[in-house]
Amino acid sequence: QRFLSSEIDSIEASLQNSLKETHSIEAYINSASSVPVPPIDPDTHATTETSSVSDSVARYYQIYKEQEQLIGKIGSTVSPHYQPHTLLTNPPSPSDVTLELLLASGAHQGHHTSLWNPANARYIHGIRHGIHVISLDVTATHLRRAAKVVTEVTRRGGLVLFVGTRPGQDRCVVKAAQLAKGCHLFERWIPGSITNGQQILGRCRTKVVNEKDEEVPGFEEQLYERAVLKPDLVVCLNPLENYVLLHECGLNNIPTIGIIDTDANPNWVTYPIPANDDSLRCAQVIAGVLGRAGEQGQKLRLQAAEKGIITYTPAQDLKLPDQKEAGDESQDILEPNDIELLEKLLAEVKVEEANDGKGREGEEEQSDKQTDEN
Amino acid sequence: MIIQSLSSPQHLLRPASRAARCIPQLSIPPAQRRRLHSVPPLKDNNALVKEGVPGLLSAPSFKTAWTDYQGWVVQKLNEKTAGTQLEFDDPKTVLLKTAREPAFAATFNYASMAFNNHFFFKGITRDEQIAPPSHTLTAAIDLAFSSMDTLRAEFLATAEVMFGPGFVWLVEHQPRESRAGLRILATYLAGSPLPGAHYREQSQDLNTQDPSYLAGLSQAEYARQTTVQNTAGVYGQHSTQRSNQSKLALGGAEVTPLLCVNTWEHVWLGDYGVEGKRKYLENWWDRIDWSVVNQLASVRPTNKFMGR
Repeated sequence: QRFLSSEIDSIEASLQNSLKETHSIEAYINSASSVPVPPIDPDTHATTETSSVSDSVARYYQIYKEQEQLIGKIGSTVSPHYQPHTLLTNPPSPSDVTLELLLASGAHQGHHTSLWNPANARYIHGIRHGIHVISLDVTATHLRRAAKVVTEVTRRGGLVLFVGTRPGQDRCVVKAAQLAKGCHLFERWIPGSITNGQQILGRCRTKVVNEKDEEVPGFEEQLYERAVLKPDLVVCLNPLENYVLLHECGLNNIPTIGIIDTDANPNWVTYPIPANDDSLRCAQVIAGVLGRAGEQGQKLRLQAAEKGIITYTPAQDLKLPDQKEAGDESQDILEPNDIELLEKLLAEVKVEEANDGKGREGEEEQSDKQTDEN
Repeated sequence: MIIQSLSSPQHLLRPASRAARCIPQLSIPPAQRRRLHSVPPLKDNNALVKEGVPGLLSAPSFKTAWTDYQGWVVQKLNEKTAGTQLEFDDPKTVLLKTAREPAFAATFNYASMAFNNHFFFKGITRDEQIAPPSHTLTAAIDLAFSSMDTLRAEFLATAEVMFGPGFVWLVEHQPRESRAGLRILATYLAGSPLPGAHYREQSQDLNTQDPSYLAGLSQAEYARQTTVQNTAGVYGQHSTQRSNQSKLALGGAEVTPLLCVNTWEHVWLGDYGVEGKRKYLENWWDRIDWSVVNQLASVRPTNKFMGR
């Protein structure tokens, strides 16, 4: 055994020696010849030749891209047409909702009359070839209302959950959640994630942020004892498959928005959007519009925060870390130095509470957001 | 250029949707049918239509060369690409995709003519006071042609000598090893200077080629017999490293067109007659919009791409 290990040691030593020699010669050869010697990776002992190729690839790609800008469109003007990827990369906003867009997306197409749920009779325009046709003006109205709801919830610092579990809906759901700074779900909803949240989502990381969405450290102990977050609004692109989710939301007073086809029950959601849930393009349009609405709400909230206006009710049960250490439990959370600012804030908060028809109690002042790893 | 290989020419001809075949097509009158490609607007479009290019093209000549011809080419492009995979693509994309397919030669021709003709008219200005070429461009011209006058002489001579219709281009050549430089490139008929369409560059008039020069071999075989096929050693002029480096990287753009002149007869025949090609070319040189050329020549690689 000793004999083997010493052999291996000596082989190792000689390898290291040869490597050192190669490294020392590299610099000399590089200075002498016009062709650079590729460096040797000490772990794999192989040459790393790929870097020069990838550098030139990047360079030529950049030239290609600049050229495309200058000469790519020469020859004719191509009229505006449907480009599927733009619904995901640049979704339409609530102001872009037109009957033409909804018609082109196939939002008017319902199901066969034999599958009809009579509760949504008010949304139906008529029948053609045995298929129910949804009124697009009704769709547009309900979509705009839902967009307004999303904007206002996000403006008040609410957490929106976008749900779309059909194949192909993942990209639009993720994009909408990114725009609205909310959460997304495109796999199966785990039953009990709201009613039994402590079990299912109890290990997810929570954080405390201030009004400008900057994380505030020092609350780890308090967060450890805190209850799991629930969404403040749920947007569901296929309510027929997510009955359990919608039922849990109903039990917990969480408002829901959903795409209601002619075979769906509009009572399952708070704000129905009568449209075609089977068309991926239609789902992408609706998710895009609601995502943009959430983006607008977030922008309004942060703009108000820049001016010092907090658009939501602060939490009462979080203590600042240094005050907690001092043992002072009776102090209020925020003690602004400026009394005028305090009075202004109180006035704003009172105004907000007065106007807040669907106000949420228990919102944290330094609101904590939960990363939903469902 | 990133070229999508088309496995078979047939799939380009298939209609875009299956439903289109199942449901009977309504007969829509031609005037109401949606046009995907339309003639692009030029700078000073109204003045051009009214007066043409003063000193180069009269108003009726401009109408023939641009309004009518580009309209016809774009309409044919619409007809060729409608209902196929190519229907929403720009003419440049269409010509790159069809450059290798002999079955789509007509589509390539219309797309390439649309591109070349528009490129030609973009490079013309109506202004008498023409902005001069930029310093970078002048330096590059001096390096490649020793002076602007030499470039002019060379360019116009090439265009004059070309027998038959085509375009003559000033291109910037950016190969991997040697220095980037300006070159003059002639393309016959609807040939394209773009590197991705090099199969249809059409830079040679076969009447001026000597078949016996190739010793009875095909071009591919002749190329194989005249270029070095193997490598020697690891470092050095003929090493594997060198041969690897000389391969064009994906997305490589070796040629940038800067300027072109349209030598198709329908452009200059009306104003100058059959013997007036030289006069037309001289007048064209005075109407070059050097600001456009400067902009195209300013594409330079920097180290800022991808955060490097």
